Order: sequence, then C-alpha cells, then structure tokens
Amino acid sequence: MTKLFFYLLCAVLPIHYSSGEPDTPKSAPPATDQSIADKLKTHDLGAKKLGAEQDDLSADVQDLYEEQTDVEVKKLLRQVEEIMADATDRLEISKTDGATIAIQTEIIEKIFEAAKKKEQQGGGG
Amino acid sequence: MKDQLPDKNDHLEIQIPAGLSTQLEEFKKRLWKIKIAEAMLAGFFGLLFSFLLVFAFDRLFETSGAIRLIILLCGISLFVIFAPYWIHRWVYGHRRENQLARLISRRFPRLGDRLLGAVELQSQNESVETLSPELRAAAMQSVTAEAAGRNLSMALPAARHRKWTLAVMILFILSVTGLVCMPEAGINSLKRWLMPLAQTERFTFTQLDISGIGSPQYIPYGESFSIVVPLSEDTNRQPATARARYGKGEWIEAPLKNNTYTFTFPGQRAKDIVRLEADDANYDLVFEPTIRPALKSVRASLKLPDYLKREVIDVDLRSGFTTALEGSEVIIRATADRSLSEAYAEIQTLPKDEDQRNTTKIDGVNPPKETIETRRPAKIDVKIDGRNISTPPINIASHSVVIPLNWKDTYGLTAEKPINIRIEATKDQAPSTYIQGIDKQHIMLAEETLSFEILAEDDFGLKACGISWQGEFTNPTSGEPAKGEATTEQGNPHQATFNLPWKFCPDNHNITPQRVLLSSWTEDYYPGRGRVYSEPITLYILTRDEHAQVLKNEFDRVIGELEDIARKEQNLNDENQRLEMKDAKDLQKDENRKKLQDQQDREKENKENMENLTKKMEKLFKDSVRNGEIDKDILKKMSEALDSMKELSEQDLPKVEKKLQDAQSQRNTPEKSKNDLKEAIEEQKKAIEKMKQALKKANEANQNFEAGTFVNRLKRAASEEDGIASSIVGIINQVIGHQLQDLDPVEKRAIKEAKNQQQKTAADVRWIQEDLYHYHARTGKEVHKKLVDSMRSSRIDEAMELLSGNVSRNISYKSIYQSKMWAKQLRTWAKLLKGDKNQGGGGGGGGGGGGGNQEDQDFEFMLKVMRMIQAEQGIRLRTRALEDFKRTITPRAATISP
Repeated sequence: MTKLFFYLLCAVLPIHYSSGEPDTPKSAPPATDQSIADKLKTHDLGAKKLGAEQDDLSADVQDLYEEQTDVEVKKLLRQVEEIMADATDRLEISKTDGATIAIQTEIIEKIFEAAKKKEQQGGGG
Repeated sequence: MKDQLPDKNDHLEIQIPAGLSTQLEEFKKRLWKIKIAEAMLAGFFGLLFSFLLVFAFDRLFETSGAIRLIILLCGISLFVIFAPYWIHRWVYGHRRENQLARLISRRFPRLGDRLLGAVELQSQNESVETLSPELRAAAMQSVTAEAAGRNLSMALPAARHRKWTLAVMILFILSVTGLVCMPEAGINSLKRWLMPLAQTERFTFTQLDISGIGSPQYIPYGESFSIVVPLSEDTNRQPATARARYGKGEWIEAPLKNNTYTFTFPGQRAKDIVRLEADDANYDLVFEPTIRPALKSVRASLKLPDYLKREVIDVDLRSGFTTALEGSEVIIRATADRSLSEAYAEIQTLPKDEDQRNTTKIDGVNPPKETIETRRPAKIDVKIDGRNISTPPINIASHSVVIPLNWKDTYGLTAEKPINIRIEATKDQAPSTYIQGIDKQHIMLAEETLSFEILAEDDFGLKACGISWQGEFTNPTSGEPAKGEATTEQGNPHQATFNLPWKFCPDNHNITPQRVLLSSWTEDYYPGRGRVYSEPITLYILTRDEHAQVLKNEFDRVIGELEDIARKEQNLNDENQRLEMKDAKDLQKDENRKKLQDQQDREKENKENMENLTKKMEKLFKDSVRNGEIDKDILKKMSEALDSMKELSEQDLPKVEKKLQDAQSQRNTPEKSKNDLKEAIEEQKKAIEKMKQALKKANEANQNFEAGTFVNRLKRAASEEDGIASSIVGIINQVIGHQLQDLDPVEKRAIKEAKNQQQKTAADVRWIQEDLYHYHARTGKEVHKKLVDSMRSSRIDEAMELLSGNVSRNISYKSIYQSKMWAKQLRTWAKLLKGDKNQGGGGGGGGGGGGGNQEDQDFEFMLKVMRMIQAEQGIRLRTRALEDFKRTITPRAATISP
C-alpha cells in the first residue's frame, strides 16, 4: 500500500517541477493609474491568504512530526516546518517572487524526502 | 644670257634707230597684253569652274568639306599661282629688247639674230679706237630696214586669250544662269564653295526632316525597326517614293504617305550606315543596334500608416506584386542598366468586387459617375536621376492599384514592354487570441491553479494582451459575481504574436464558487478598434461538496468500465477454455491458431483498456485526496482498488497475453502449445479474481462515497436555501409591499431566478429522499431509514413547493424566513448523517485490523504526506500566479527581487 502511495507521490512531483523554477521576468505593461492600487491590494490580500494557508500547513506538519517515532523522519519534518516558516514570513509581506517559490520547492522536496525515508523503513520492516 | 649695256663714260653709244625701237616697243606691248589677259582669264576660269563644279556636285550628292576645299584651292590656284607665273614669264621675262629679239628669233631666226646683233651693237663696250661708229650705224640701219619689212606680230607666241575668254564667258553664263534659275541652290553652292569648312548644309530640292534621327541612331538589338522620315516644310519637291538601305542590305522603298516615308527594316545586330535617298536628297545615317534598357532592380519603400509606428519597409518588387495596407504610402524605386532620359508611370485604380457590381448596368441605368472617375488612370511625375527612377509617394486607399512603369534611355530606346506593378490594398485585420492548454469547460476548486497559454496574433503589431474573467452565480446569492482582468503583456509595433504561459488561481482573485467565463483579450494599434476577445473558457469553480459529487460521478464511471473489463476478461477466459478442450494437435491447426491469435489481440485490447482505466483512477484518486473532505476509509479502499488495477495492467494481463502468444508459436510441439494455453488460462483466472477483488474494493469505496455525498448534497441544498434567502434580502427594500407586476425588471428578474432556484432545490431534496430510501434498502443502515422518516414527517416536499410559490408571488419576508428555516433543518440532517458516518468509519477502521496496525499507520502517513505535497504545490502555483499578476501591474514589479 505504501509503495502505491509512494508511486503516486513520484507521479505527482515531476508534473510541477517544471513550474518550480522562476520564469524570466516579463516585460511589464505600463501601469494605468486607476487600477494599480486595486491590483496591488488584490496581490497583497492574495499573498497574505497564502501565508495563512502556508501557516496552517505548517501546523499539519507539526502534528505529523509529533506522531512520528523515527528520528530521521522527525528531523526532516522539523526542517520542513522551519522552511515553511520562512515561506510564511515572505508571503505575509507579500513577497511572491522567485525566492519564495524556490523555498516552496524546497518544502516539497523535503516532504518527499521524508516520505521516501518512511517508505524505506516500511520496505525494510 | 646676261645683257651688258655700255657705260656712257667708257663707251660710245649709238641708239637703235627709232623705227626699229618703236617696232619692238609695239611688239612688247602686244605680247604683254595678250599674256596678261591669258593669266587673268585663266584665273577667272579657275574660280568659275570650281564654283560650278561644287554646284554640280551638290546637285548629285553630298560633297564633303574637304573635297570642296580642294576644289576651291584648285580654282583659286589659277589666279594665285598660275596668273603670276604667267605674267612673270611673259611680262617680266620679256621687258628688254634683247629678250624680245630672242622671242622674235623663234619665228624669224635670221631677223631675230640680226635684231639681237643690232641690240648688242648698241651697247658695244669696246674702246673707241677700235670701233667704227659709222659702221655700227649702217648695220643698225640695215637691220631696221629689214625689220620694217616684216610684220613682227607674226613672231608673237600662240595667243589663247580668245579661247580663255570664250571659256570664261561660258562658265560665267552658266554660273549666272544657275544663280538666276536656282537662286537657293546657287547661293547655297556659293556659300559652300567659298566657305568649304563652314557647316553649310547642302541644299536639295527635296528636303527631308531628319532632325528626329540621332547620330548614331540607336535601334533595338535584333528587333525589326522603322524609320519615319517626314518631308521638310521647306522642300521644293515631294517625290512619290524614297528608298533606304541598311549597310549593304537591300534597298527598301517607301511611298510618301502623309508627307512621310516609313521604312521598316528587319532586326539588325551590327552598327552600320543607313543610306537614305529621296530625289536629290540623300543621307548617310549611322544606326547602332543596342539592347533595350532593362531594370536591374525594382524596389518599393513602403511606409505603413502612422498609427502602426513602424519604420519604412523596403520591398523587392521584381515579382511585380506587393501588398500594402490601406493608408500606406509607396515609393517605387527602380534602377536601369543605363542612364535614362524619360520615364512614365500612371496609377490605374482597380475596382473592387462591389464596384464591379455597381458599374454594371442595372436595368439599363449607367453606374454613378464618381465610380468611373475614380478609376480613370492618373499620371504621376517620375523623377529621373541617371539610371535611377523614383515615383512620388503613392497613397494606397481601399482599392488595389496597378502602376505601369515605362522608361526611355539616353539612346532613345524604350523598354520592350512596361512593367506592371500591382499593389494590392489590404485591410488591417483584427487580431485574434485564444487560450490553449485547457478544455473548453473545466471543473476546479477555487484553490486550484490553472495553467494555460495565452496566444495572440496580429498581421502587424500587438499593443497588449491579457485575460479577463466574468463570473456568474449558478445559484441565487447576495454576493457580486467575479469580474476582473489583467494585462499579461505589453506589445510593440513589431510584436505580431504572443505566446504567454499563464497561471490563474480563482482564490487569488477572491473568486468564490461560481461559473466563470475566462477569455483572453488582445488589442492592436488600429485606431478605435478596441479589444478582441477569445472564445471563453467556462470554469466551473466548485465548492468541495460539489467537487466531491463530481468525483463520485467519475468514480461511478470508472467502476462501470472496470466491470466491463472484468466481463470481457471472463468471456475471453471461457473461450480459452473451449480451445483448451481441443486435442493438442488440433490446436496447431490454422483455424485454431487464428482463434488463438484473435484471443491474444482481444486480450491485448483489454490490457490497454485496463491501462487507461488505471490512469483515470489515478487521477481520480489524486483529485479525491486534494478535495480534502473525502473520508480516509474511502481513499484507502480506492487506493487498494487502484493497487490491484495497476498490478493487473502491468503484470497479470501482460502475462496472459504473453502465454497466449507462446501457445501460437510454430516451433511448439502440440503438447507445449496446450501447456502454454493452460498456463494462460490459469493466469487469466487469477487476473479475473484480482479484478473481482478490485471491483469489490471499489464498490465499497463507492458506497461510502455515496453515503458521504448525502451529507454534501444536504449541505448544498442548505446553502442553496441560504442563497435564496440572501438574494431576497438583497432586494428586500425594493420589493417589499409591491405587487410582482409593479416591480422593476431587475428585481423581477431576481425574483424569477430565486423561484427557479427554489424549484431546483426542491427537486434535489426529493431526489435526496428517494436516494436515501434506496440506499437504505441496499445497505440496511438504520441512520438512513431514520433520516428518510424524518424528512417525510417534516413534509419538506410540500413545504418546498409552497416556498416556491411564495418566492414567485414576492411574499418576500415569509420566503426569507422559510428558506433560512429549511437551510437550518437540512444542515441538522447532514450533521446527523455525518456523525453516523464518522462512527461507522471508526468501526470500519477497527474491522480492518484493529485500527492501529502498521499498515494503517503507514497509509495514514502517506495520505497526509500526499495531501501536504498537493497543498504545497497548490500554494506554490498560486504564489506564481500572484507573481505573474503583480508583474502586470507596474514595471518595477517585474524585476526579480534579491
């Protein structure tokens, strides 16, 4: 069963790897006075909302951490939690740039690493 | 002979007797007169003769200046050289008596000698003592006496002055006659005679106007050509024909037509002289065949309309065709292979199709005059600069134009035929845009991020490109439907296409569950055109309950397909068993081998179906995990079914197919074939068993899913009732206390929508009751029966119908109250069902093996990890979508933050 899940995790990850790297910056159109403020507000609200979601996810990771007994898995999950805190901080100040996306990519990789570690233990056990 | 005269002091001089002296003097005078006359007449003869010679020659042909000079010099030479010589000889050389005596001695030798003696005696220089004066006088007297008896005129040399006079007279008469009778010719010849080197044209009675013929005259190389020679206005004669020939070719005769002779020659390749003769007029004209001037290059400078903000485009026009946008300016530039003297061009406006219809006579009525006027060719001034020609800017309007361009070189040769340059007027086409990478209709959760590409293209340049969205609530609600847009890329006059990857997350734009029409838009530089929108993509943004329902429906389809595959596999197994019953040898017969092949093909097909179904199931599973509200037990059973399906498609069914293939092998012994078939059947039976297990797991999952959906359906019905209440609350001030027919159309429409929604919700609730009843009949669970009974006793069906009536009759307050009440009741039932489901789930877990075994723990861990990864991926995609959105706002935002 865990093998199947691990397979599904592997299937999920590569799809999004391509979108994990930051794009080359786009040439921005000239701003129109009327909508700039509204749009920036939309962006800020969206980023803060994402920050809150990131924080919720961090809480889930903490729960998962507490349920684990293996030191290696716990260590990885602790790292995930710490990196998630960075991502949350950046999103709360509306930083949605490449650096934030890179942090999020690292989170995904760390979670996957934890899953891999768990699967190895399951296989071994 | 040297004459010596005696010195008076030293000699005694005795003069010649007077008679003899007089006789000699007369002889001398006579001699001089004749010879001077001869000299003068010869001089005149020369002048007159040379003049007449020129006059005569001019009448026959063109006498060159050199010949005329020679003739003149010869004519003058008689006067200038011969006459002085003659005079010197006969006048100066015969001025003394002894000279005369010698001349006389030629005719009268004896007398001459004696005269010479007398002359010598006269000047004898001997001393006086030796001379006898008397004797000398006597001798002189004797000579005088003898000379007196002679006529000395007889001793004169032959006189020709009379003949000369006659000749001069004749020549003079001829000259005068010529001048009188043909004064123009005479004066012309006189001029030409007197001034041979002056450019005095020869006078002819027939005069041709060859001013139009160059020297040399260039003619097209190898092409037949014509020389047109008109008679001059001053001509005295008009010969009926004239002739001409090229080099030594045949004479070509041309009649006089309209005072013009036209000679047509065949094509020539070498330079030569054309001899032209008409009566006394003849001309030698040099003709040089030369290749016609050709254009080495034809280009156009195309200036597009200002609004496009583009540079001038250089277009190669060798094909003679180009297209130009309406409002463009075209300058045609051509370079010839030699210098040009003239060039001509005109603009011929071509009719459009509709113009052609307009210009056709309809019922005998002519088309409007303006239409014809616009098509009249308009000449344009072509500028020439050496070998280059250029037109002024030609404005391209809505009609296409043809510009015939012709040119003439400095040799006077024209192009063989003009080139026709066609400029097709085109319209600035509207840009187009579309969204690529997603289906026309897409179902998603609000937190999901949609990735797609925005494509836009234009024939010239795109100003900007973006997306816009417009939402529409499918259920009545008090909120505002979503509406927004973003400029994804700013273009430029040279940007003809856009291909932009874009991410769109509804949640980032606060878009709640509703139907959203997502379109891309683009804009070109054409003034006043505005935006062009793509065909919209319909996004159904669902609540988690709705999403779960969609997944449930999909799961039903997957189970149906799995059943179908299992049934087919069972049929295949039956057929394989029938084949197995045959003898081993029979199995190797062609017909049975063919059957085996057929079985293998069908097995392969079934395997492929299973592969596809497994992929669908995978997706379904991932979506179910993402949904977040689907129970863990359902997911577990789904994953078990998926596990079996994966094994079937990757291991079991390929093994069956391989065994069936082995059974057909030509190299097999009959026993081996039978054995292979037997093994295939055994493997197939195992596979069928696994399919049944998978189906069982899937059905179990589906049952739980269905139970879960009752909760969702009840919650959704509650939400819809809340929505109806909210929509009426939103318009309560406008509608309360009014009759429906008195309402504003906006409120009337809102009431109508609320009524429709209420009817739909009422129908949904009826279906929930019926489904719950059947579900209870199948599962026998008490909670479902209890719920069905509760719903029936509440008479919700009738209440819902009544509520529809109230809404439609605009009994607003009551409608709000009832809607809210039923929303609350529906939620209570959902809670009841959910509570039971949670209890059942726990029990299920326990039944699965105590609820705490390692496998369950691992499953739970993996499920949580999977959800976390999906959630983090979702957050990352939405972060990217937000960043994309931010970069569309300000240029500064586009830079990468450190």
